[in-house]
Amino acid sequence: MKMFIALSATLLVAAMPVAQAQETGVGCGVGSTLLEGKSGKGVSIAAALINASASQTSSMTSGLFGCDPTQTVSNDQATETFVAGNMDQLSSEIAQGGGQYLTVLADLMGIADEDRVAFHRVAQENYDSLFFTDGDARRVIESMEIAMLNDTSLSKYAVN
Amino acid sequence: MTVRFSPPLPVLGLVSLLFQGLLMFEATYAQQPGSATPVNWQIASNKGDYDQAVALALNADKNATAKNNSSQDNSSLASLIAAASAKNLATDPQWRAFLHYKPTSRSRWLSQVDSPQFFMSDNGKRSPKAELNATLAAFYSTKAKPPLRLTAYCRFVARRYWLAEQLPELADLLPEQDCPEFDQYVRYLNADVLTLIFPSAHPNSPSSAFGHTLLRVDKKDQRPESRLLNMSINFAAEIPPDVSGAAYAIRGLGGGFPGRFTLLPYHLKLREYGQIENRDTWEYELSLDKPKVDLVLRHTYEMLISEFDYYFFSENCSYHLLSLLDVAYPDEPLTDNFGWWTIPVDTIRLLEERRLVSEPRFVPSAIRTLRARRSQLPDTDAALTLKGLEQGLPAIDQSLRKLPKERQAGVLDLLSDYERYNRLKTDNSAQGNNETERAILSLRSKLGVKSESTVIKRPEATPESGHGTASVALEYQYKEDKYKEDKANIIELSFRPAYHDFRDPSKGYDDKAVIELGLIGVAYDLEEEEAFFSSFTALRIESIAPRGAFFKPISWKTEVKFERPAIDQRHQFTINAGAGVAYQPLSKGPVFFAFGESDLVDAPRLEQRRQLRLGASAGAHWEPVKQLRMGFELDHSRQLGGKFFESEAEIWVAFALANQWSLNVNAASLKDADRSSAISATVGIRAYF
Repeated sequence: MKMFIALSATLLVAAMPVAQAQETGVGCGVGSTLLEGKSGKGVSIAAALINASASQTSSMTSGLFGCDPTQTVSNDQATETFVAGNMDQLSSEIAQGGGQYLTVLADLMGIADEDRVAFHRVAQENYDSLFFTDGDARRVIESMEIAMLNDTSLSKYAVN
Repeated sequence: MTVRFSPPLPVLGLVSLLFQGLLMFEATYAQQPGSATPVNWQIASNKGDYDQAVALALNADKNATAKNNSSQDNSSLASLIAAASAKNLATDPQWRAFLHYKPTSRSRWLSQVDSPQFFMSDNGKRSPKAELNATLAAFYSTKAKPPLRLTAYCRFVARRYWLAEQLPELADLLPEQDCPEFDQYVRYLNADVLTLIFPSAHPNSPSSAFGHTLLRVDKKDQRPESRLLNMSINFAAEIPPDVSGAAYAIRGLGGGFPGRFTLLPYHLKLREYGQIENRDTWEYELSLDKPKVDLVLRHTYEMLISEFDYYFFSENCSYHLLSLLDVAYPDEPLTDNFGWWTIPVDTIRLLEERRLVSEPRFVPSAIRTLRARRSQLPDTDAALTLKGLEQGLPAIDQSLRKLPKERQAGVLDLLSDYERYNRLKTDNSAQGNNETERAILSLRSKLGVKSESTVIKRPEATPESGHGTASVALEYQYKEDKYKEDKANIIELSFRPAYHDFRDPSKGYDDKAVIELGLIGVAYDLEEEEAFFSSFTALRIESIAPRGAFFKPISWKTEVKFERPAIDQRHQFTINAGAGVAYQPLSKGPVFFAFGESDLVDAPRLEQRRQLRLGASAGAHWEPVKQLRMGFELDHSRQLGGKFFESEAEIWVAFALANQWSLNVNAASLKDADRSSAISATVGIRAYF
């Protein structure tokens, strides 16, 4: 019996496709660490068994914005992390004129309820200038602030 | 009856040997290099030698008492130790929960934590008392002990708060320290409620086969979307990027990777599950009151520097999340309900039994959202989207412009979602700069209209409402061999630790996937009056994913099985793998599938004992009404480089009786090259728990 189990274990392992132990796009902070990495085929039978995803190493998360709650995180940093991590959803929702990720962005940027409609409209109208480049989170936020500056009801939020 | 049926536990022991024992590393604790003996306990404490500090303090106290000359300096730690000892704090369940002690076979205690820096005493993993005394000594140290960055006073806050509650004298005796990082942690989390997050399984994403659990720290009265910004607490194995293949699996199953708690903004985790892995997510608010929430989070803070050897079946993500919650329920630890394996949904079921979770909130995955969006469009618009997907945006530009703006928006929204879905399969970068998607979204933004919100129905059954993940089946089988004029009546008892098959009640489960692990069967032949070991399925996975106009997933299956079909037959060992396609012409109608198959067989009864066979199979399964499932399957395979062949046909019906029982009937016919042509009929009942 033991032999059989050992044998089946060996065969089982041998039969497994090479697992992509790579992380699936998690990570925190702004810039390269977050945005690199491809999931590849990603999933494998090995992964099926182990019921967990690889996690980012703590060195990746410590000291980066909004990932280490023991460090003070400014609102700007939290906004940047959120935009960097959710560029896909934000770009869709901005083009579509609304959605829950855009609502959170408006929260982070301190937009009052009565100005949300204008916020959605301005973001939608400026889609091309927000996402014209390599999708750098900082630049998306800055472009949004510039667009707001040129809007009568939103200029008060654009501090720069 | 000549063979006693042995309970499944010894067998499970073997299984567990396989899964846990392969690479059981006992961490070797590096001894601190011995330096000159410190003169008093405070120096020893500041040097990080807490055991010695305890010894010195107790010794000095003894001497002082003997000389009747008590020195304030020496008695401070000693009196705390004496007070803790008088109250038996080292045997308090709360202390055991903080240190993750579990009883060993010889009624001793052993901590599940595997990183030395978690313990203040060199003997802390094994001795709750030594650890308690050393912890008290450590709290006096004003220096962090490498590799820790913070003093014990500021890192091990849950223990300190509790000890301060238990020992009123502690406040007077122990010098206070400022802990700005911990204060910031508390402020940042601003916790009010903990929510258990369960990203569920998905048919073609086997990494999520059993689901996963994590915790989210919610603030008071938050809107659902604001919770995206909250922190989540996740326990996962840390896998170095260069590990792959067999090493990944063996080390993963056997505790070869360190498991660690991490904190991450929830929106990053939700993106990983919902967008990249396409898993629906369930959010269960836990009914812990505020003091309990604070307690759990203080303990979480301690655990951030700690490691556990990660065992994918037993000490996994869900197990250790429960171990965090155990500090709030030390008298009835939640983890005591799990030993050999911990399946995430079972931990939710336990929390529900203990009335600790609320009705969950459902967060649909990207693919479910896509399907909902597709079903909201008229067929002509869906067809236009498909054309855009296949031939590119310019190909549909003309037709698109003829539509009203709202319908243009519908097409473009669906199209960009599909493009993203396809891209995320191979590239999960989040830069929003994919050319194809950007072109579509740019066009979309110029329409100026707002998209209709997509209505997505929550599945009727919550994950924890499904059948129990373990099951026991009792079956009666009648078998007849035409050529050999042989008949057999067999009763089989089988046990399956996990998880789900098409023949099980589908409620709460993904009805397109099968996962069976460690199924073991013992049979009794009524004529021969003899019992025999009839089957062991180490692993069986099937993913039958219907193809449609938009999605074209590959169905696949694999099985590793040992079987002995009859008492007069010797064993057969098979490894099967197959790939194929599935279709479901009508929604809610039968699912038809066809596979190409390969089998590696080892069977002593055969002329050529070891064979490689290739074959094909086809079949269907269907749930015409709730609780009733049925299916058939035809299978034919031939030996590669030999004459052996085998054909099999089977039809089955399964009826769910209540939630935790099912009745199964099947009939099969088997024919092979050199043996026989047999027919069989089986009726059985299966219980889930």
